[in-house]
Amino acid sequence: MTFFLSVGILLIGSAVCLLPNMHGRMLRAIGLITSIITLVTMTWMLGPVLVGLTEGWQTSWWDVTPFASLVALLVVWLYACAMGVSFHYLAVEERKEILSLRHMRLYMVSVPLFVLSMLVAIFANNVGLLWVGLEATTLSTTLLVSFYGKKSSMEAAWKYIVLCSTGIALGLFGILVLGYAGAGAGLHEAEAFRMNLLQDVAGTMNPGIVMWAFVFLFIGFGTKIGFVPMHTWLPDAHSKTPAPVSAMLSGILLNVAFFTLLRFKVIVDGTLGNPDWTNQFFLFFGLFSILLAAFILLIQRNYKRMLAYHSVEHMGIMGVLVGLGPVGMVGFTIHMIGHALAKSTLFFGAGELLQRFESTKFYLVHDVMRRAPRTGFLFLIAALFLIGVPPSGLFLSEYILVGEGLTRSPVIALLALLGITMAGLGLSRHLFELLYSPVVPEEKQDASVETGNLAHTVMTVQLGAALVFGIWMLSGAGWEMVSQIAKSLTPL
Amino acid sequence: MTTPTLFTMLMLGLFIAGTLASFTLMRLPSLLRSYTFSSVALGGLALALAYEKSAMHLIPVAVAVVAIKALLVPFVIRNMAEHSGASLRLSSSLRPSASWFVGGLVFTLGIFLALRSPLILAGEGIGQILVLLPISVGVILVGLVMMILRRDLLSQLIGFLVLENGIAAFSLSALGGIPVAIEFGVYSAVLIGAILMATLSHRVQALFGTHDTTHLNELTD
Repeated sequence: MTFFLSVGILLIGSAVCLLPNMHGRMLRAIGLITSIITLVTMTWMLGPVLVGLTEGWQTSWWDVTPFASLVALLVVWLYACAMGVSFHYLAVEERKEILSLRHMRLYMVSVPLFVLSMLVAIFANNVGLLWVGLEATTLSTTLLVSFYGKKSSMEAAWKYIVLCSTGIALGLFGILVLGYAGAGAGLHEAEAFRMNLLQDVAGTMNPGIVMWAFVFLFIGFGTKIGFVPMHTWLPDAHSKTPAPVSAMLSGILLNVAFFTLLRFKVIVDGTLGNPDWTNQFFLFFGLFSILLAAFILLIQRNYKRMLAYHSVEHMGIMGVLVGLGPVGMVGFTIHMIGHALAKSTLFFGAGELLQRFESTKFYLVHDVMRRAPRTGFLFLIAALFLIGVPPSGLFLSEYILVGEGLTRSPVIALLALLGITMAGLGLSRHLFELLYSPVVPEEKQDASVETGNLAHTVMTVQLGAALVFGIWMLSGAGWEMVSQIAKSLTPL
Repeated sequence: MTTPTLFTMLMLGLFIAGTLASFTLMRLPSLLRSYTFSSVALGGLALALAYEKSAMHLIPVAVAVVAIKALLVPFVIRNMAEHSGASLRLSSSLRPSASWFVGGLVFTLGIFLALRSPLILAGEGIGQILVLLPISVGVILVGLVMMILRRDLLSQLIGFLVLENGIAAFSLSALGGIPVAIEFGVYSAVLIGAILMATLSHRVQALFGTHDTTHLNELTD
């Protein structure tokens, strides 16, 4: 019931912004209030499921599990944080006359629909509904990629919708092939589209067909996750959206797509009797994603694109972790949470830098630590969290990657470690140049004195949450709970 | 396994001809017309299946296919193209004569791959119009290659729609359609996607003065 209440809140929150006679501040306030109410209702509903106080529930359309609850809570948390930052970010853009009321309305209508589609994809028990939800995430954000109406925005938006829609269409083909295998195992038309029933008959499905299905599912959903070589849309789209939306795209949408792919992996593993075959996909494409992103990060010239490529690298790390079996899955869960918190904070910071220095090019932004000390300090801490400096939770997940990887696939583990190190060095090199190098004549000289704002507050809260989470995991206290959550996704 | 009726065979022929013509034609009106033919044929196949299997739920699906894919989507694309003042002459990496050859080759390759896959053997006793199954894989491949070889936004959009037609044909063939609620969800997503792509191509035309994708090259590393 609470779930449908949240759905209703998001729909109303979106529809209200279409009313005439709304001014900018009112639209921003509605966006923020909608996100906070959604966060409260979803936490009320999912918190007990997440910590194991109550059982999840399942119908023919919906499936609420602890892992799904975790992903959904991350969605609504980042949604509330992004709308908090948007409240300030859009006000600045409106004051500078970069955005009109029409833009603001589009933003406030699209974002709740985007969140709603992610929640549908997370909780769907019907694979068709899951597909519609995932495709809707692309459709609801396309106009946000082309938001600023520049040539580069149009290029990014075109690549985004064409590549993601094609990928997701191939994913639909994979879903149909899986349904076909389910029909072969005795399921009737509608039953062949229910995730739990497919899982029940997994052992009797034709392995050849199921393997075909997984190849298409992997290509399709892998495009949405941003695995190399299907990643080409990601750096363009994530660098062209307004910063709070970039934070949501990078911080959580990729995780949602990853989660949906893992739900199919469980079915395929059930048919094949073990996860070895599917794990190979994750290991190979994960490693490829880490290495390619690491090379590009060394030569990157734009800080928003740098953050986007870091997302490709982190999806690669999560891919390798999945390929390492049950312990890797715990690492995956830790990495997902840590990455969501750190990456979104960095994108919020990137938005602040862009508004202050009016460029996303490294060579046009210097000496941030002196000229914008709040943003600079928070950006530095978030970057350290992202590259896994303790007490970041990412330190533990990357430690698991190396430790477990050396036992199971030493070559892959060593190459992954090399890639992670290169990516970390790339980030550090650019970061210190951005924060401490002296100002050059070409860049904007007259940036005003920085004062604290809502974006800084949100970034501080996010980093506080990341710090608590990291200490909780590194102390060992959180291991048992996170293991239980990970086990609810992959029982094998 | 059911033997296809004459009507089914006719629809299959129209579906293949419309798809291959879409791959080859170089003017927007004729390309949209061939896409419309293949979409009408898809609706006809859904009707044939509804009749042969007494699957009444496929009748609204057939109506939706014709209404959305054969009427609404081509109307939106034509309208956007005319309003943006885009050239109706489309561009491709291939000459028209070579396109027929490559299109036929890709389609045959798709059929060959499907016949070699476990899909066909396992389909005995499940399949609805089993002959449509390898054809649908061929159409998917044609749509995919069309998106790669075409060099203008509108052709890429139609390539995507061709690919989606192949997937819809597969769902009819392998599963006798999907649950109606989901089917409408999928068609709504396709319609909204087509409208968004047409809107973007309109804006690209306004900004760049062309639909040619070779001009979309600003974002590199």
